[in-house]
Amino acid sequence: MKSVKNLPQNYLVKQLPKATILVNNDYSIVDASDSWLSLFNLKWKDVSETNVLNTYANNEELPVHTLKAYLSANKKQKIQHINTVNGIERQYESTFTPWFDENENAIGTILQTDDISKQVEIKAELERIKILLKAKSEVAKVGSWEYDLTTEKLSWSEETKKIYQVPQSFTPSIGQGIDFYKQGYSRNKISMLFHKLLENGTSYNERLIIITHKGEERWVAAGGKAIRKDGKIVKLLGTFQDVHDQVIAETKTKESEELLSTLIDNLPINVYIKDKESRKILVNKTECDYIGTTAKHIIGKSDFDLYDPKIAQISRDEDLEVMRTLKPMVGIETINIRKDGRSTNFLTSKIPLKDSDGKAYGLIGMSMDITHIKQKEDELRNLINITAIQNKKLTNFAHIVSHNLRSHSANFSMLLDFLVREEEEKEKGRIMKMLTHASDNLLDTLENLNEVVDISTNVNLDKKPLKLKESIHKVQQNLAAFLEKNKVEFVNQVPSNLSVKSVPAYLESIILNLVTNAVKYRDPNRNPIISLKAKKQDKSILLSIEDNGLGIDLNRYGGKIFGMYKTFHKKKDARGLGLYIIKNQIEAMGGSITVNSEVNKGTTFNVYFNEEDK
Amino acid sequence: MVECNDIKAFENGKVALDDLKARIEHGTNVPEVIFLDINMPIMDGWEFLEELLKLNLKKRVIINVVTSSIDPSDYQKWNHFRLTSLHHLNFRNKPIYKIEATDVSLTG
Repeated sequence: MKSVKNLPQNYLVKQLPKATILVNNDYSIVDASDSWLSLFNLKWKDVSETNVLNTYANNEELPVHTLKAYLSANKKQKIQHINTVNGIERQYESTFTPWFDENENAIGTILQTDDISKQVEIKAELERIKILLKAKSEVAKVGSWEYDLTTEKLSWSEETKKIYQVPQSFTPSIGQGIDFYKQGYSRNKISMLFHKLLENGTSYNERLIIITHKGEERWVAAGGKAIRKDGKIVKLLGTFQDVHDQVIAETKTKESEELLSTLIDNLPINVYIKDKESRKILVNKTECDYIGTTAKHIIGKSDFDLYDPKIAQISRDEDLEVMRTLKPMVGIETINIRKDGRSTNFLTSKIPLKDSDGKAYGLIGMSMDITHIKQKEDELRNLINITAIQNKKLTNFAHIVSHNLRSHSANFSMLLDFLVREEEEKEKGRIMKMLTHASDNLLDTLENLNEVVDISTNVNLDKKPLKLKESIHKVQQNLAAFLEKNKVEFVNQVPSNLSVKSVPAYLESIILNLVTNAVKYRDPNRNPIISLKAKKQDKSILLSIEDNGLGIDLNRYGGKIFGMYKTFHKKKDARGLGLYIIKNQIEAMGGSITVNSEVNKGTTFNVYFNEEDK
Repeated sequence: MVECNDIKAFENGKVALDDLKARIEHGTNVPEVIFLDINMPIMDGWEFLEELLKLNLKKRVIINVVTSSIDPSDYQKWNHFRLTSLHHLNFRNKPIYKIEATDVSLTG
């Protein structure tokens, strides 16, 4: 045994890169590398020939007896231990190798030590990450897979196996893996993707359907990525995630969205959502069709951009009111006018949209086109008016008939009574004459009534376009002698190209009656002037017949002027029938007649011919 | 029997009214009894009645409204005048075969 103090370091040992000491059988350090000295922050002179136990066996983890056992074991052993150097605990790994002399006698131990604090830390970190990853993959149901190209081994993570519903002991192959995908699109797709990954390293991430080991159909998100080494693909790995519930939920959401949008789009009602500024943020198909463009061109626009400005302001005021009060406006009749001037009647509802604070951020509007209903309503109202007028006319007519016939029968009755009781022949003859006269009157009356009935029952009118000027001229010719005799100045100012739609006989009757009336009721103090004018007015043609005659006190007779058997002048030939008949004729053709008159000045009759076919 | 030597007939209400006005102006007797037809040209029976009431006659006149009309509205008009005027108004439907005592005398 050598017992030389402060032996110099063997030069070879001194240079060893790995921290190494040589310990003899007495546990004395006989040599050490510089790397060992620096590892423990020691100097050669301080450790030379000292007991190795002083350096290593300084804590509970590596007691003296354990260390002694390692040193005298005579076989290679590796231990990990903690030592404190300069007050810092560090993790070491030491290898005990028996030290033999030339004769294979064990003369001590070669002790090599590595500071593995870093490795241990990394290992611990790796472990932590693994646990974390596992936990995460369990929670997120994300599994993984790996395929080693050199060993051709495919491995699935625990979670992946769970997704496939295979036991943890299952070892998959590539073919099996692909066969799990549902036949058709999913299997074709994954085969192609995997092939591309293998050949070109093209990554993928795709949602596909697998049939699990237990036969369940499930949506998965399969991802793949290639790992290269020296430009060569050596490994493939990827993720595998169960996204079934998500896909189903998404599909359901999409389906219900589609259902809703199909419903809204196909409602025969204009539906729109407006923001606070009354700009449209959603419109349905009906609304698009109404505006006459696509939703793209409507979104973001307000009523001011789309409709008549006055109407837009009304609509904006309604919007503001609904959003201010938060009270829905329900079933209000509105009128909308588009830029081209076409107007539509709507039954409109506006419902405020509230945010989580209960404040309005817009509104849903629904407008039902009721134009045709309104039109029908107007038609119906018109019809009711016409019916009411007709009804009044009928009642009136019934009174006229009953009165006229009654008065004649009363007349007969009375005259006959007188005749029976009369004894004087001369008086009898007078009564007989009166009876004959009464009989003629009755015949006249019946004829008159027949004429009136003929108008009112003539429903199938045969209106024809007639040249007004020509028709007037014809009447003028027929009355030539009568007009001449009364020195009438006849002024026909009607434009020659103007036509009216009328029943020929009625037009003649109207002109004839008004002209003869004008002559009959002329002012004896001046020569009669009759002037006729006509012009087109809206949907009718107005014919005016003006005279300078006696005039009629309209305050007194206004209401009766067109009545039957109404006469207002002291004229013997006044029948009180002409105006009544022409009024009926005009009205039967859908027109109307009015009168303006001033006593001693003259009278103007205005006849409106209806030019619409109804 | 009632005796009368002043009986006049008129074509229409206007002529009758003018005659009546002339009588008042000249201080001549106004009629005691009037037979009034409703349907007349120029001025009908109702218009005549209205004008008559405006004359404010002090004497009560018997006015027989004579008509062949059976229109209830005519009867209502008559009733209105009957209730609002001091004159004695009768309503007689044609045919009339006999003049009743009440038609010409207040006392009957």
